[in-house]
Amino acid sequence: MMEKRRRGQIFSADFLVGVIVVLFVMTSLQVYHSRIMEDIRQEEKLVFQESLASRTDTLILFRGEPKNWDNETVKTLGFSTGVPNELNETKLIEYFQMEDEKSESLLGFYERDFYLSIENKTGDVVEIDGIELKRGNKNWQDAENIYAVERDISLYGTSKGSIMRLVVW
Amino acid sequence: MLHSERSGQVSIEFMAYFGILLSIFVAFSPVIFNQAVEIRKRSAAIKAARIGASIEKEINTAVRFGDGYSRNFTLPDKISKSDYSLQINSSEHGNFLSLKWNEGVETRQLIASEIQGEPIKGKNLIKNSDGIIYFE
Repeated sequence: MMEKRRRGQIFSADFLVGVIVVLFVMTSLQVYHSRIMEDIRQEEKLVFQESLASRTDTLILFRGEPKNWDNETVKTLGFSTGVPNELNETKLIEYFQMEDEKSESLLGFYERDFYLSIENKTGDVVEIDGIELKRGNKNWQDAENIYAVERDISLYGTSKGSIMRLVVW
Repeated sequence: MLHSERSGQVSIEFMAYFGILLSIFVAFSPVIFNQAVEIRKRSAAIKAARIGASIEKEINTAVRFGDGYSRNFTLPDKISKSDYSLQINSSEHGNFLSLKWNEGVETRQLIASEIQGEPIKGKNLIKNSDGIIYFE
């Protein structure tokens, strides 16, 4: 009887409680880790999204440097006519005809994938003098993080509202 | 005699429990340690990204407001208790802001074409003079 009790004691209720406590602590640590990592991921997205908003602010509120830039003279990109959110069609045409490397560098996305377009309210890409106002590619399907910004704009001389869409991944 | 036998049993049971639970803890501890390191590194990286983004915003704002703009702003002295350095490098593809700390580098491309000087830890003055951005 005595021997029987001794053998069974290692798997007693005390032991089970101990194992449960340890497993509970381990599980809590895992949950805590997952939550912190999710918070960090959200924070990373927020920082990048704010950065995109700041860049697009510059594109739609700033005339560029020099003010009347063209493909040859442009130093800093800006499409505004001087009126907030109103874009200069000539500058847009110049930019959307630029060589890829130069256009990526000016936008601040050299060696990054992006898609920039000017669209009307129905989602069709705007075309001026036969030039489609879009740049980059739309291959973001497999991207882990996709950041997108849409800004309400108008094109100089037209009363119709348009959208500037920028997607980065 | 009986009392003495019980004490011995408690001790052996305690050792057995302690040993098994310690084994479980030791088995998990590398995972827990790696996760703690990962959190520390990612937290530092996100703080660096915040600082980089704030400098980028200051520059973009100075660009937008144009000639005559000036503003004071302050950058933290440390990133998660680590020292860090700031640098603006020019290349054929534009200006790049680099923020280095002991465990990583945060780099972001700037859209301003002409920048003189570099931001520093602590107090900064940013100015736009004739389209050129100055840090003082």
